[in-house]
Amino acid sequence: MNGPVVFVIDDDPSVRASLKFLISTVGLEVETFDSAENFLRREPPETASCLVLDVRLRGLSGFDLQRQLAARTFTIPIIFITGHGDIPMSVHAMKAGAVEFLAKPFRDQDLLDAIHIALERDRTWREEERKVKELEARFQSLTRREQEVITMVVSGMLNKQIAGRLGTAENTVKVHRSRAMEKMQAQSVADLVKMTEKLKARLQKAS
Amino acid sequence: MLVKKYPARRRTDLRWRIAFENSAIGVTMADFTGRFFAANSAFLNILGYTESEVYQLTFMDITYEEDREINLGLIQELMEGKRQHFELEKRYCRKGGGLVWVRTNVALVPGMGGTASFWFAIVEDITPRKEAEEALQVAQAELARMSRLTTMGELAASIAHEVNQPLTAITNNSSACLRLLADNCLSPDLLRRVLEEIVADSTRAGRVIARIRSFLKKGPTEKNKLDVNELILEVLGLADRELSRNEVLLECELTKTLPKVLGDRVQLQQVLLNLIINGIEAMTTVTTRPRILCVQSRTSERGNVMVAVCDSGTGLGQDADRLFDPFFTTKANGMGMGLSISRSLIEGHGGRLWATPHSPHGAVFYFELPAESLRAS
Repeated sequence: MNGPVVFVIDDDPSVRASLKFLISTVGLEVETFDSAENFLRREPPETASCLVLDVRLRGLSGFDLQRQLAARTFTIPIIFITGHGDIPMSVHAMKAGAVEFLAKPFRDQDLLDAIHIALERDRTWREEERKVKELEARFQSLTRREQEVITMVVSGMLNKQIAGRLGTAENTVKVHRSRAMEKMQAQSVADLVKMTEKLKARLQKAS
Repeated sequence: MLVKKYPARRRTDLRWRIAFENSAIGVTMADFTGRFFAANSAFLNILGYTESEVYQLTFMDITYEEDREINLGLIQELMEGKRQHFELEKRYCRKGGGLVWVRTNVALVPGMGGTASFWFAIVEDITPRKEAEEALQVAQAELARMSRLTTMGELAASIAHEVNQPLTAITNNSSACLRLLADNCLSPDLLRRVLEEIVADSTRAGRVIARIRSFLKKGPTEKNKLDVNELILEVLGLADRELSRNEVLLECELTKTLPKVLGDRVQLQQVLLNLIINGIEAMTTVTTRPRILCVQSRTSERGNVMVAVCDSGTGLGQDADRLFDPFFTTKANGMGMGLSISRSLIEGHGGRLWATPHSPHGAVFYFELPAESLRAS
């Protein structure tokens, strides 16, 4: 299964079935769940995916699930659907990062457009994620000394200063530095700075 | 002390006299015709009359009109020897107007020797207690009204949800079919299956509506004799702020000799309020002519009570025949339930509710309720 998946969570069987049918007409894979709890039991998906989520559910509500997913750093774009939405509710959902908030019944095109945007957003996230993971792997492949050196480089220190700090010769620093740049596949210091920014953002997010 | 100057018998009389005069509770005596011939100051205070004024009056003169019948009935029972005394809470008319609530305890003192029999009454002012009770009743009625209005609101919200679900499924299924059809991918088998689901969901939505209808019909219909004019004035009081906020001119043409109707006060108030608010809202965009809301009551040709709520608003337009359909609305925030519920409520009262265009502008909503007297016969 490599194509994108749309997860539908609604406690009403006919709504669930009709959503599955509608979404499948544009060739997308659909998995349905009758509760947020059952969705959480599923393994996080490997491919691009999004969530079509009813606000009012038995057990955990749609908003509860949104919060729990955020707490688990399980990023998946969410499209809310509701039978009794009001403006404060939709503002709340959008602020928490929802892609769209649709009042039932909605136009098919509105839902499919939202799904399209959500999947696109998830693909971008996944691509970013893949890049960051690769950077991380490259960073991990550096020796302890190489990691130290490039950390000092991106903080703006000159080779001479680094050599002074580490108590080695400037030439040795130059060697560490060029090996590290090579392993990180960085073309320039500017490039390296961008890479470490990404890594830092990830570290901050994880902590 | 004074008492010492009198013989024992006179001393006792005097004590009674002093007690009578100083009692905090009104004490009075009236001759057999009901005319007062003795009254203590507490009794005079309750009524506001002087002693000599009171002696010109009978107790029937000062008893509030509505309480006379029951009072006379009890007097009759005393005279026939069916009771020794009676207690009655009733209203007196004070001198110069105003009512006062009293608890009276009345006995007929039989004639003895040379004295004729007379009425003896102890009278206590219970106005503060009655006022508290009335305030409580008003508060309770208001509470009951609020809770029923809330039930209506909750009902509306749950209707929205319950009807929305099958509606959503129907929309999704139909849209999906249209998509497949456009791509020539819709097999008859699949179409049949989906159509069956659509039918099932429509039936489900219909059942929700039927349930609401039966809920409204059963409804909490405590039937009381109601004065429709009174009802109109109460509701206009509620709508007062909306009227002035929207700069609506109110015309009220109430027919005084209107038969009473048998109905549920709250339900009829809701209908009226709904029609009045609709009328006001129909005029919000009107700027080139006066905004006039006219409420009329009259007796119909058949002797029933007819109420008309007439506005100078945008009129019924082309949707006149759909007005009373559930969920039909022309308002941005409307549920489309107001007129549908109103019609059910009026029909639940054996009446009817309809609308006609008003010339040259606006609309008139009428409802007719069977007169209570006609209904009984």
